[in-house]
Amino acid sequence: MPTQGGLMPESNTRTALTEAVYYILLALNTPLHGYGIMQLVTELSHNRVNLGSGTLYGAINTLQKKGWIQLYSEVKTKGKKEYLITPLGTQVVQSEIERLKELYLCGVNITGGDFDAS
Amino acid sequence: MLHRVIKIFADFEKEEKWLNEMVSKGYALKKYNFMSYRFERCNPGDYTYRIEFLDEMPSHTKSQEYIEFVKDLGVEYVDSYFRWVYFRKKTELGSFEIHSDNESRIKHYTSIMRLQGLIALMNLSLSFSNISIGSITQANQYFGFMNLALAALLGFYCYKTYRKIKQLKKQNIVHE
Repeated sequence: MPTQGGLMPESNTRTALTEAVYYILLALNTPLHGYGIMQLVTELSHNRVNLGSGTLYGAINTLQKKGWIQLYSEVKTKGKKEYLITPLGTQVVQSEIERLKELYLCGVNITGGDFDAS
Repeated sequence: MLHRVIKIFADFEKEEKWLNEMVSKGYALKKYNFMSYRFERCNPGDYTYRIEFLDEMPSHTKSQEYIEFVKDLGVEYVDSYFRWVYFRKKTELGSFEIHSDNESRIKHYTSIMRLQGLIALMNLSLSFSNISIGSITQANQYFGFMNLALAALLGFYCYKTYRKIKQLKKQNIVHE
């Protein structure tokens, strides 16, 4: 059972996020429970990233421990938990976007093409 | 009336494949006990089955929490045996995977490899003690060789799992 996944390297800074983590953090800009996260990530990635149940569970636990997301609400009777990104999580996403921008620009500059436009 | 099949698997991925083949024939697993599968009729292709090896026994609070989480994703908990859990999801509700990244696959395989290794070693030590007292009774000698055969079989599957982990780690160098 994936209680805490090795979903990312232990260091908190300047390493690439996994796709799953990146999309989960994005999804949690609004409070969502597990099912909501899964659906939104599928939608955001146009059905490319389908989170596995174990992978998602491991990621949620790890991100919570890191303080990148927090528990937003819990329905006591059913134990359904909603999560929300924290300010620290938002910072992490922002620096990831910077990193992705660099990757993207280098790629476009060197290969000379913005293939998306075609 | 449940349809019963007696079968044994040492590879959970083959077992999972077989369960999904049974679904395509209109049989959905309802209950599992050691070597005994009980199926109910379903429409062919109704479900996707997945098998997972948990870190703790299913009755453990950690496992209960996880199983509840999985259920909230629209997945049904079918049955469990030891630390193995059988899940299924209606195919009309979309795809169903337990692990969507290499890291959690590696983690899953690693705990399975440990189990296989442990059973292999247990059988190996049992075979030594049984064979060594085998000169006294015939039965012990017989059990001793059975233990040895089991140890070899589990050792082989342990090695196969190890190879899968190594393969995934190799992939990790290039892909996430």
